Amino acid sequence: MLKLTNVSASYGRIEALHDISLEVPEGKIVALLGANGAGKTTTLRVIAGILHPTRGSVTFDGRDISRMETEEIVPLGIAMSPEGRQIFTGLTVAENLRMGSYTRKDKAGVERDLEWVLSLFPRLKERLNQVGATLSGGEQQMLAIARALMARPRLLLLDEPSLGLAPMIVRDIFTIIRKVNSEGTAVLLVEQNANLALRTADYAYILETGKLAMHGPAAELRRNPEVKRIYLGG
Amino acid sequence: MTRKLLYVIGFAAVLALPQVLPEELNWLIMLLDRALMIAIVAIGLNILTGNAGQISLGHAAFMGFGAFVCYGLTDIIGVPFWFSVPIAGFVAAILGWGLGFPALRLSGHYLAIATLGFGYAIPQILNLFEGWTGGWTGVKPSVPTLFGISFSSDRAYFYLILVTLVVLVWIARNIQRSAVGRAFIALRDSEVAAQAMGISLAKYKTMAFAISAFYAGVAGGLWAHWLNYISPGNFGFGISIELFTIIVLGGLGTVSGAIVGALFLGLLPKLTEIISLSLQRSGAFADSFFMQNVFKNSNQVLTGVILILVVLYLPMGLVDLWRKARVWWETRRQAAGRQAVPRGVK
Repeated sequence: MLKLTNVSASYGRIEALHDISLEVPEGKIVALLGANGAGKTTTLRVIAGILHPTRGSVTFDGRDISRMETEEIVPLGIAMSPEGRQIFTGLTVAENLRMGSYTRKDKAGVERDLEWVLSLFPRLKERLNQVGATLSGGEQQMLAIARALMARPRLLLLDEPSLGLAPMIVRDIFTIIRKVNSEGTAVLLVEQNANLALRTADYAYILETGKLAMHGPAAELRRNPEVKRIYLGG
Repeated sequence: MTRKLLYVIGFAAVLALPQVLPEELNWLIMLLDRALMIAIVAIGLNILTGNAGQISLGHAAFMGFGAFVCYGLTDIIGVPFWFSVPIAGFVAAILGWGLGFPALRLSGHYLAIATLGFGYAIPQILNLFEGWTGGWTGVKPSVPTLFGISFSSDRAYFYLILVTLVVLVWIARNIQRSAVGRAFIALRDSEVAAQAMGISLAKYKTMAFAISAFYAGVAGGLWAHWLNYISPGNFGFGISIELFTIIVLGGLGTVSGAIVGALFLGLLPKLTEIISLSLQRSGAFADSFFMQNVFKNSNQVLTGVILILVVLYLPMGLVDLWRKARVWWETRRQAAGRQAVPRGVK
């Protein structure tokens, strides 16, 4: 469904991604792992159209999207939950969710998805009219994911959904990610917690300083001695 | 119902104000006229800064530009005044839209500096077109006449400003409640997330600049034909800073904050001046040269102190006073309600 071919990208003169190729098949969870500064977030930004690649191509359903703007890419079915949650603190939970469906015109569908998203995250339902700033960290992360789901994406880009959250809340959030995936949404998951990511994903790519270091089925990578030593702590 | 009635009474009082104020208080009408025109600009700036999160320290330039466009249309070309005021707004909006583009690459302090530079540059540029703007000597816009009524007095002009203000308040409220208003708040709270939702930063940032410049342009047009004298040098840094102070003081992101802030900052210097004068005339410390000097300069010191106190104790702006008062009233009433039931009685 999503395919990156020999993609390079840079911030000014500093190259952040070098010759990356990866693929997210329909309905799968793919993890993108690596240390800080490896280029995980940059990869997501390139896919979402926030940053344009300097070389290579990004295709979605066979269509080249590497030159498209985000507002054109979101309606195609790609939505992102950015790193550090980035919820709109001045808007209510309900308004935050409406922002997620900003590019959609089908009102009935939006209402249906609002119900669906709130059934996934019942905590948000209790807080609909609360301003975003008053939510706890876990609730903010739930809101960030729910907001992205309001675009009704076929591919969900998740940037560090476990960042700074208590283990119990992380478990809840990953249960919901699996549930969303089982209902047909493909997920590209960027995660520092390699162990958790490899347990959740079907396939994984490992980045090192902007280059692709390794890739393979998640179960296989989990047994790989080198991956174990560097990323899984043992 | 009582709330609506309160609004009606309040509005009627505002309408009657110029009629009932005695001659000696002409200065008050003059100050109110000025404050309400500044309020119009502040409402626009509050959409840009309070809602969309884009700072501007050069907003007086849009006002000046609108003033000269309105003057040029009315007195040089001969367009009817009621028509040239909105046109001045639209022309200023185009300029604002243009300024929005460099703003796409700048934020925070850098945007502040860039808009500051813009605020300095526009009067200089206007000054070059002497045939239109009169250069530093300025020009004298005419007194407008509408439906056979001449708006020569501050009292008559008050209504002209009031009508414009009401219309522009209504528009601002609608913008804030619309999807556009939510998009502004979204890009203020998180540019990355707003972008990820498919909100075009380019479109909405330039739109916010255009809308705020429209407000400044309209107010500038009114200003020109109210003061009947304008020069490019009048629309400098001082007014820009006054506007910025108003929205922070009144309450960022709210229409009422812009109006309350403009009235407060517009009338405060006069109030402190009255205090200062009465101190000087009270006869206290009449033989102390030092204290007399303190009294003489106390108005500026008082103004400064009051501004600092407001920012310290009402960081959300003067409009927050209303909310705080309500909370205080509610808790007091609840406390009274508990006391009303004697202990041991069921």
